[in-house]
Amino acid sequence: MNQPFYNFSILNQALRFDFLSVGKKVVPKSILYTKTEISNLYSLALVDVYNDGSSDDICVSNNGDMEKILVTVFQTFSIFFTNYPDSIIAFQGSTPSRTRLYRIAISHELANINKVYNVWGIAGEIYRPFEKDHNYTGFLFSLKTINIG
Amino acid sequence: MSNSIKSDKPSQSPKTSGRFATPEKAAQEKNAPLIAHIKKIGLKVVKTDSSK
Repeated sequence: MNQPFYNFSILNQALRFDFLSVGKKVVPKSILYTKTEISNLYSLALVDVYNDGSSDDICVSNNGDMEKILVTVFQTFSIFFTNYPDSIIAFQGSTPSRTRLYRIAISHELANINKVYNVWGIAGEIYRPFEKDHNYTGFLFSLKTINIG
Repeated sequence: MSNSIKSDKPSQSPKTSGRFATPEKAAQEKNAPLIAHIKKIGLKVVKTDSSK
């Protein structure tokens, strides 16, 4: 994945990455990995950050740079996994259309992603190795040395 | 006069109130339904033997 991405700040032991989305406007954003109650499972979220420090996960910025943002999120994976190599990341879109957007983006880069990561889709009550053109409600990423049982 | 019809079909993605006090809180709340779903399905992280 050699597309352009935003420079970001690494915060909170590589669990938070802040950057500025620069399109029609400048929008501060955070990528956050949150430890869950399931051992070694972290959730991933992309949120907008307002001047007062509050945040919004569902705001549609329409800033014209979604691809660059998704590449930026992907860039943080390697830093996260360097620090938490035994972990799995779980995420989904804040709306069904965003989940679909993530599915399309993963499908587009699947060959490259699979060189480094295992990817699963959540389909109802099961996890399946990610396949193109299948609908999923969420996604799981891990290093190749990790599997799920 | 039109009647509004509300769908009772559950959303596949979480509904959030949108705005939260901090990014960490937004992230936690956003993913709560997903993590609850994974917890219900069950997930065990298994480290494979990479020495082979």
